[in-house]
Amino acid sequence: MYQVEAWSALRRARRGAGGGLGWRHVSGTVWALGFTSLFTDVSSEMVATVLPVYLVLYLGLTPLQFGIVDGLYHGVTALLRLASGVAVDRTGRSKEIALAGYGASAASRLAMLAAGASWPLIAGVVAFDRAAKGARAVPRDVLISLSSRRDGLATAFGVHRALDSAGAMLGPLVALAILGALPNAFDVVFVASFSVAVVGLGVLVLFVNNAERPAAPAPTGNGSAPPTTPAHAASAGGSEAPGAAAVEPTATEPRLALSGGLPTGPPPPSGHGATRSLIAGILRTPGLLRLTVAATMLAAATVSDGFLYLLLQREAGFSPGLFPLLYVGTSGCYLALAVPAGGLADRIGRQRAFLAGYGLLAAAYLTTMQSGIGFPGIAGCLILLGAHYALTDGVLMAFASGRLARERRGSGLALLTTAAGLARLSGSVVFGALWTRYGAGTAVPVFLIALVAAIAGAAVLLRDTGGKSER
Amino acid sequence: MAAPAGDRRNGHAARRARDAPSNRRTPTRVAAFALLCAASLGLAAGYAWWSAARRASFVQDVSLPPIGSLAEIDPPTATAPSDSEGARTADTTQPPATPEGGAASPPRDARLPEDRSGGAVSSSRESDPDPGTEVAAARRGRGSPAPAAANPAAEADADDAQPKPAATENTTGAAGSTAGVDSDDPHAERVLLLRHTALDESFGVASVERLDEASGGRRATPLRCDRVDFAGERGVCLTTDRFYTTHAIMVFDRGFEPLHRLPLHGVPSRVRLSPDGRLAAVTVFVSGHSYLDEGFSTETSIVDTYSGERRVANLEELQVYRDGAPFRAIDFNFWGVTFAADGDRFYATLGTGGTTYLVEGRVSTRRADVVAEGVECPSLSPDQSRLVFKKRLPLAAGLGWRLHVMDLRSRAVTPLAELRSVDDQAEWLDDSTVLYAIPDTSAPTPMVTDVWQVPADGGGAPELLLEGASSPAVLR
Repeated sequence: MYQVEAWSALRRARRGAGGGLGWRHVSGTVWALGFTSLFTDVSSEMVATVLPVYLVLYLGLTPLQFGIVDGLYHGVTALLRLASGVAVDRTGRSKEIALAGYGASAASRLAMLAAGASWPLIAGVVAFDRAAKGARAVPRDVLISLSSRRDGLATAFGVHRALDSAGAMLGPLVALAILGALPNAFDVVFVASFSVAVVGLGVLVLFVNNAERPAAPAPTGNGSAPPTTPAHAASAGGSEAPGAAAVEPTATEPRLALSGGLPTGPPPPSGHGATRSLIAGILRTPGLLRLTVAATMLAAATVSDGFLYLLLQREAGFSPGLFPLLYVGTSGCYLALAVPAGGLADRIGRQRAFLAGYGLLAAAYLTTMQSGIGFPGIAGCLILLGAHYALTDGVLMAFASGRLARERRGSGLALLTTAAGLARLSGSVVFGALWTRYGAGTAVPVFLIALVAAIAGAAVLLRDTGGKSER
Repeated sequence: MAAPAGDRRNGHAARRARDAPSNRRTPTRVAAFALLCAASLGLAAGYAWWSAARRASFVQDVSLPPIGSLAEIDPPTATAPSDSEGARTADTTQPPATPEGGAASPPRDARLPEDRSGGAVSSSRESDPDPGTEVAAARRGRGSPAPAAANPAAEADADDAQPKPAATENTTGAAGSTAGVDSDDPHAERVLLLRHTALDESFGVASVERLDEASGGRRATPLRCDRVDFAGERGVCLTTDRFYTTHAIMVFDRGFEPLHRLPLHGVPSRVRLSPDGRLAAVTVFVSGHSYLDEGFSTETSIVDTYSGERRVANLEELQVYRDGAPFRAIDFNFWGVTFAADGDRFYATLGTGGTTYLVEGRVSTRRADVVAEGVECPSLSPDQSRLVFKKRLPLAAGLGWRLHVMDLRSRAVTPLAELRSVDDQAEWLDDSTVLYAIPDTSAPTPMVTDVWQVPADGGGAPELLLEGASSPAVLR
């Protein structure tokens, strides 16, 4: 879920922000980008947290149709990251690319309003918006890193992520307020989302200045092209901050804990030969393939939060207008449990904690199967979800990054992300199909079994990763 | 890319980038930003206001006059008003139990309407001094044809432990009541509880209307309901609260006081009370919004209106048998329940695997048997002999249903004269007429419906009975 990713990115940034300059020294551009992100996140989370209610309860879409939209929502973000990264490197016009991304997302709010009840149009709008989100992540982070001094990078990212996270939490509350005042006024939510997104755009246009490419450093001479690009500089700068897992521009990965702690610059722009050797190098990286398979299995058996909350709403029968509160609740539980989860991971090993986190997700599935669930059941489910995120968020990316050489990191993580994203997409579609055809009473147990099997498989595959020494 | 030139260029750019913020952070930019904020937030606020106004603009300013209790509705009498006054003061203090004993002689068995009705009416016409029986007889004789009268007698019988119906709408004495039997319009004294669906301020309000002109028209109760029914001493209103709560069952009494409230887990669809008013069957959509949706799913429960508890939490708990063998499937959906006079036996619709079945069951045994196919939303006639139901049109004929009546003994099915699609659980006005709601095609929204009547024998033609109404409940 995006809010959790935003908070996890913030935590990672703050972990790396020890020492260095204080936040007062962070440049105006970074603050501006932070506020752009804040407003944009308010805008996007407003819509994202009401989307399940809007589609399934208000428009009356079937769970299958919702599953397709939800799958696109989670799976499409990674799609344009690579392309935008290359564009940033080639053209250096980070601000314009970011502007295009933010502008497209703003436009998609109005498009959602115009799409009405036609679910293919809605699916297209969601895909468009999420692709735009993926596209703007790299130019934004490039701008941040270029606008900051090297020793202030971690702080700069921390400031940005803090504003980003605040926006992610505010969004559902704004939606709640609108739906409370005007019940079922989803069109008002969309228009309000658009206007907030426009404000964010305004911040970007008026207060953020484009930063040119810095000079190219000397080639590293390892056969692949040197990391000349600002994106790489961002990643290089990021990794020099204390702890390679500290700074990460990837707060927007699909929910499956693949918002890693690590920078993902695009691969060095060179010819086919270099690309082929890059890919070969990635595939030969020991353990990466196993990690990818584990990530794919777990992602395919994941029921997204939107579905789980819909199931809770069905059983408990509370008002659809309160739906965004569930997202806020899970984020809150995540925040509360993040530190204890880290402590647990330190004690029993990262890998075991990671698998335990997925066990908690399976337990959350169980709570949605209870009939006549009341407030304690809902609270229990949110706590389980929050704990699940606390234990699993970013872990797989950390595992992968630990194994990938720096120049392959971007592509390797992109591979992992894309595979998991596609698995999420198919998982959502399959769950929606099962629910539509056979009912939730069949769909949830099937996914429960699949998740348990995936946990078992991942336990086997991840056997030699993530010991206690793993960061 | 020559290195020195690149350095120079980068140097310039760096300097420009460093200097730019201080140069550009002029008041102009801040002012432009403020303007942008004001404009876009103003846009959002304006749209919100316009959207709210648009929703409200459907409503015209008319609202119905209020009614505080069913006690206020008087049936018209052909005889002197003094009779009605005398009876009115008498019935509010009636002892509850003994009148039942007096009228208990007709057997509960609903299958022999002729005998029962004959017996009941005749006993009412004898000089029975007990005021309760008198009033019950007054109700029976109130202009409804004899077979229908048998049902209220059975209702009264079943209510041994319950307070006597205040029956204030039957405020004539025994003598006055029989006059109604011979009146030209047997429906005139019928009192209906319905949902008002005209586009005015009272949209969605449960209202009371008597079918003759002298009654003063429709009057609004304090309740807003999506679906409403009333029988015996209890009414059930399926409500949708608009502010942070969701759908609920609200049980109310004759004075429209809420007695019990239970949560519902979906959009209200159907409600039907047993004739004695003790049990209410409620159907909601747990997914989908209408019977036309693909893959809709319903949940039907049976509520005890006196204790406020669910007697059967979900009809899917029932054991269903088909041809004597247990019948079970994962996609069972029940809806459209109608109770028989004994308040235990019922008919309902079971949908599974794309087919709909008529099931007959008993609440007490929690068992149901499939008795027919292709019957949806049945409604049992007051004389217990027939069911009116909606039958799905073949796909070639379009989407929708057509009303039919099935004779329970001969299983003969007769289509009714209404040719339009009816998506409703019909209600019997009496043993020869059924009522149903159809959207008003001339209205801007299909939420505006009218209640029509059509003869139950398949002849005649549909007639508009009530404009701007739905969910008619005939008070017997």
